Amino acid sequence: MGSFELKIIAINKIFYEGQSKQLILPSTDGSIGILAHHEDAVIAVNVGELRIQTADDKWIIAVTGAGHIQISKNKVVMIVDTVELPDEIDEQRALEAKERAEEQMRQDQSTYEYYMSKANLARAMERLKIKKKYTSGL
Amino acid sequence: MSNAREIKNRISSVKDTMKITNAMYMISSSKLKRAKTNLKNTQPYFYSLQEAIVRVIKRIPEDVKLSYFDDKPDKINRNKGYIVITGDKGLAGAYNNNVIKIAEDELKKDGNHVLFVAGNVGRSYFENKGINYDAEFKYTVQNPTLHRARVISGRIVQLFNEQELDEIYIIYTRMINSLECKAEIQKILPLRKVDFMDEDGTDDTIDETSYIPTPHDVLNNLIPNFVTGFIYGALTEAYSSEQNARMMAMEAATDNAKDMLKELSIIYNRARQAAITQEVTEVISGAKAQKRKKL
Repeated sequence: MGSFELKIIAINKIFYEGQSKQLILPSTDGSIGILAHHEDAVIAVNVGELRIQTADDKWIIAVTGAGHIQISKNKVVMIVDTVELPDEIDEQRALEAKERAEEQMRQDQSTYEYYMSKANLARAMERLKIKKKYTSGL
Repeated sequence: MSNAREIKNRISSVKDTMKITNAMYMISSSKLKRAKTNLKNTQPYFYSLQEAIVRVIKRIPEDVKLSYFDDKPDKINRNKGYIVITGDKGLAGAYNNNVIKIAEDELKKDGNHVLFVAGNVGRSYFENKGINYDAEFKYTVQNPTLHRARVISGRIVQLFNEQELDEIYIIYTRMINSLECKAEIQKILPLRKVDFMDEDGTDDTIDETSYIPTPHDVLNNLIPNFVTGFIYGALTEAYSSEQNARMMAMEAATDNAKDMLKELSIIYNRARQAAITQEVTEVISGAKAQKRKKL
């Protein structure tokens, strides 16, 4: 299996830089897998689970925020606002954020605030999901 | 010559001021260290996002119509929004002035201006001047977070989409290097294709790029993110610049206080010496007069 150059840039760090064999990411209309020599494309990335198969066949699993991916000549650049490993996710914080977002959605809100809370909720839920899935409960 | 006690008072007051400026210097230098690491971590994102948007916009098919590209060239009396990023506190040299000056220059131009001022200094300045600004737009500039950037960009993008604003600019201070900061104005929206074309003159992108799911969806997702990223980057740059400006201002103030103390202590010693000399002269002349009387 061929590999491609992958660079994942989050707002506060470069999350991944190096060769990768496969990348599975959440697009706005479902999961998308990218293998080597993918056609040139720009893909919208949604909040969700991100999986990277590294050149030495290890899988890195993380939760990603919204952003986009650019594929150009077997080079993949992913620019998203946040990327976190399951270990980095603070369950308590995500839980609180989830409750806060739900609380706000229940109240009467302007449309803009509603979208804001909905996005917050999506992020919190996704974090909790990945955290639960990939860390053995203490 | 002023008397010794006055000078002594002066010296102690200068010393007190120096203690304050020195403490502020220390605080801002430690804050700067943190702000700088933040800035360093964000810079790859900030710059690659800008590059990415240029690349995407160059290649978008002509038939994609989005409000973000709508320049409304025929509209007169345009509504212009300005996000002005100032500090929460003064005592930072020319940091706040430079930003406010750019904002004031912009206000002189045509159109209806709406100011979105972040930071207390800017807000109280425009309030004193009687210039209207959006009162609900109330955000601190301390320790910028992604959340705050999201909230700000959400509001701005919403106003833009609702046609309340035709153009959006951001005025902030960029850190060029640790010695140099520059206040500058940048246009955020609308994005004009021609602005991006000019950068390298030619359109070298003949290759086919597909957009998944559709160009419309990609851009709809990408542009609000771009605005958020841009605002976050600007907030981080501004925060670092503010700390840097304050650190330099306070360093200069402390140095000046030291010079003043040196001069004052010379004057003080001179005054003290003069007083002693005078006393001695008086005593001697008194004694001499007594002696002459006896004779």
